[in-house]
Amino acid sequence: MSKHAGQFGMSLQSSDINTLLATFASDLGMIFKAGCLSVRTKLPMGLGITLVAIPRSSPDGVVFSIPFDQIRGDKTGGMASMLAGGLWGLIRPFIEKRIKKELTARRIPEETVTLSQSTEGKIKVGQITLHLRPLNAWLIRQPPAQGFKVNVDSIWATEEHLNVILDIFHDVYG
Amino acid sequence: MSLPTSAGTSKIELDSKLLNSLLAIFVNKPNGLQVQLGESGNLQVQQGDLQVGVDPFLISQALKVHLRNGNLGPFTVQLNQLQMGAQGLTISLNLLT
Repeated sequence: MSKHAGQFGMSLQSSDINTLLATFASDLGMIFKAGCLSVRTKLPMGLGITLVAIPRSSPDGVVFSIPFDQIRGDKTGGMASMLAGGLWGLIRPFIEKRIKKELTARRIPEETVTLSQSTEGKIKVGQITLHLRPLNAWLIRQPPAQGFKVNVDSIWATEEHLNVILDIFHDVYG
Repeated sequence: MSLPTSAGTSKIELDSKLLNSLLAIFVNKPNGLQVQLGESGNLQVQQGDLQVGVDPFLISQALKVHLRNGNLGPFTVQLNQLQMGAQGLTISLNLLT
C-alpha cells in the first residue's frame, strides 16, 4: 500500500535545463529557449529541420504546439515553412515513430502521448499531448525506488523556467 | 505547492508534509531522536529531555557542492539560498559545468 508522503517541486532555469539536455539527451538536438523547446533534427530523406514546440498546461496534461510557420529547413530555409503544411505529413510519422520507440522501450502505454493537428489563431500547428493519467498509472505500477513512488501533479513552462510538481508516495507494509 | 522563481535560479522545494514524512522515515527513531517541522515553520528537535527549536530561517550564502558521479557528469551545484518555513524547505541552486 502506498501512502502520500507529500509534494516535491522543481523549477529549472533555462540554462540548467540546457545543461541537463546537453549532458543526458544530446542526441535529441533539443534546447529550451524563451519558454519553448527548439528541436533540430534530420528527417529520413536527409532534410535537416528545426522546429519549435510551445508547451502549455491542460487539465489532462501538457500540450506541445508546433507552429508550421516556424519550421525551418537547413537547405530550404523559409521554403520549409512554406512547405510545412505538406511537410507535417512527413514529420508526423517520424515523430510518432520516435515517440513510440521511447515509450515501447520503457513499456509506457502508447496512449500516454498522442499527436494531432489543429489551428491556433490562424496558424496551423501540430500538437503533441502528454497525458498525465496513463503516465501516472504507469508510474505507480513501477517498482519503488528506495521505497518511494512518484506521480506527476503538474508541468508548466514560463519564459525562463520549466516547472514540475511531483506527488511522492511511500510504500507502507503491513 | 507554489514555486516562486527568480531569474537565473533553479529551485527545488519539499513541502512540509514531504519534509516530515522524510524525517519520520529516515531520521526519527522510536524512543530516540525526534525531528519535526511544526505548523509555524519551527523545526523541533527532541532527544529525551532535551528539546531544541529552530526558527524559520533564510540562508543566502553561495555554497558550491561538487557532484562527482559517472552517471551524473562532472556537475557542480551552486547553492544560492536555503529557506525553511511553514511551507517546507526551498533550495535555490544553479548547475555549473
